[in-house]
Amino acid sequence: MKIISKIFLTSLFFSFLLLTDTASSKLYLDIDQAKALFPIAIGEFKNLDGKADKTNISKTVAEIISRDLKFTGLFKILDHDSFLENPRHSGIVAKEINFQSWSAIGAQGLVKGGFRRKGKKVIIEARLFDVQQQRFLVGRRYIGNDQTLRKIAHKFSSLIYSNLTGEEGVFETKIACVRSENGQKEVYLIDFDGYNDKRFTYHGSITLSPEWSPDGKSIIFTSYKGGTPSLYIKDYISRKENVVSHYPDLNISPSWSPDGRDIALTLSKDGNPEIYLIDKQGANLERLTNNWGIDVSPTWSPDGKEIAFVSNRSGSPQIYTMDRNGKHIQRLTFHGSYNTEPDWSPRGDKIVYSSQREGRFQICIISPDGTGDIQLTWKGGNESPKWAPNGRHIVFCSNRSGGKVLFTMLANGTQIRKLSKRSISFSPDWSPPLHY
Amino acid sequence: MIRCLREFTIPVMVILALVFSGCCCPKKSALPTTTVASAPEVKEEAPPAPESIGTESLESQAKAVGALQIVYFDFDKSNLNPTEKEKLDKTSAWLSDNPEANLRIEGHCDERGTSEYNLALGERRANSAKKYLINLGNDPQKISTISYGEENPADPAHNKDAWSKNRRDEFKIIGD
Repeated sequence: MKIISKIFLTSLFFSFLLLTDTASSKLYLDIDQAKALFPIAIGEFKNLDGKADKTNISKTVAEIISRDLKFTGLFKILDHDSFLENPRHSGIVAKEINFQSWSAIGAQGLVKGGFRRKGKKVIIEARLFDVQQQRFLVGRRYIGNDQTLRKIAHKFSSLIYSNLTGEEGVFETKIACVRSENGQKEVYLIDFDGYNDKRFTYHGSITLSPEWSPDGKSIIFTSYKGGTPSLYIKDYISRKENVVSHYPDLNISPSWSPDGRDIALTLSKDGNPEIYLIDKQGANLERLTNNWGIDVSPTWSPDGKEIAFVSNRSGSPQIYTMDRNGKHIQRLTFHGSYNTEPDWSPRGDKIVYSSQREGRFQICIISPDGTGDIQLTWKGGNESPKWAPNGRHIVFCSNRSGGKVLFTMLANGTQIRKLSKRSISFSPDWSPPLHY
Repeated sequence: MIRCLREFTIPVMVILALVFSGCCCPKKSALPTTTVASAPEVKEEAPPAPESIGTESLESQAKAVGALQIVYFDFDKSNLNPTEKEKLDKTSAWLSDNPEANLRIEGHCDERGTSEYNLALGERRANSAKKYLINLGNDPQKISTISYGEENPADPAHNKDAWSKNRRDEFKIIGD
């Protein structure tokens, strides 16, 4: 036999072995089918060079990862008190880990890591292990500093989540919202877990309806800075800003198309609030609706082919869908007399909206064909829902604990949690993962 | 048979070496590396507060004779009730006596419902009053409108009393 055919046959044989052994492509957590929480142990990180841990990296990183995974509602984070060994002192690579002591406490996943310092730099290595199979799954080394510890922890949470579920997590996302202070309303940005709450606009006026672009690089919003409501786009990194729509009267309720090229919005320049399209430079104006009623709040389907919106053409505000060229308008909501604020899930299967029920507003979801109308909230008044980019969480405003505060919940209405203590926040919008 | 297998020895070694060098059991030093730098800080400041644009003396003169009264609306409605039309009649009369005055009608809503829908509803309310005044013979060029939706309540409380005070049109005389 020629040598080449021998090599070919041999590599075929080994490829076959590798393929059958690729358990790393196994789905550990099927989110739609999961019946029980996935038990995972997250050990405090080991100090690898023995220098003083002044910023408590050991505890901080492990805590952030624990909180991140708990937020998803999919994991059981095992209690540190149940650990049979101290992760700060034990091995952090597969061959140095006693997997038995972890399976003994019921862990299926195990996170271990270590850190060292190099001047102002902090070097963190983190690894995820399959306890039952006693093997390494995924790991990364991060070079950062004390200011980027949270970012590093969130990045590793993202790696854990995508490795185990096959989906993208929300740990590197932010939520834009409007806050009222001294009679002015400005846009603020806040990490999905409530940290790094920072002001974003400085208009000295009223701003509304912020929306992240699909690439997370800019935010469009309405502002009265110029006297009447106009649309501005502000770059997230450079903070440069420009007016993108300022026709007479209303320029409001912007919504980016999923490919980031177009913006659906409401203009009343032709005598009535109607839905139009413009491109992101503000050009190529295209009118979509033509009806005596108020048409506002467009939201795109994730395939960019349809738009849901609010119209009171039937006599009260209800939600409708149409093709992106304005054709085939169909009414979606029939329950009650006030249904507004639609947001189409990035998964495509549901539209979340707020509905007036028994005198208060509640968050509801409905399928795009009008079936499956379910009320998700029941306590207090709840408005302005928006989906997380993976369609697994919803952010909204609630007065259930006084004031107007941002909350998050899972897509099935459970795990309702306050996002931030700061009051008088509204008009939230959830960013895509921001990898920079 | 054995000779056949022996001929495979070298290819097997080659393949094994290739496989284990790229194997999915990396040594400690083989972890992929990511640099996570801090984002640059951009300093920004709020602009100074805008100057008042009201022409006060003309406005207070109008109010003294019962013009420029606030007009109120029912929930989710922009049509004018008879009592509100009477207020607008007085405003119209004053406008005809003061043809140089520029009127701005500001439409507002109560806090319930969507802020976006309320921006449109506020505009409807402002336009409703404007249309009524134009029908009485006033110059459309001298009347502008703006909607503040639910963003500028007259009464910030969260009860029916406050809400009814917030569903309104306000009338201002503005400079040229």
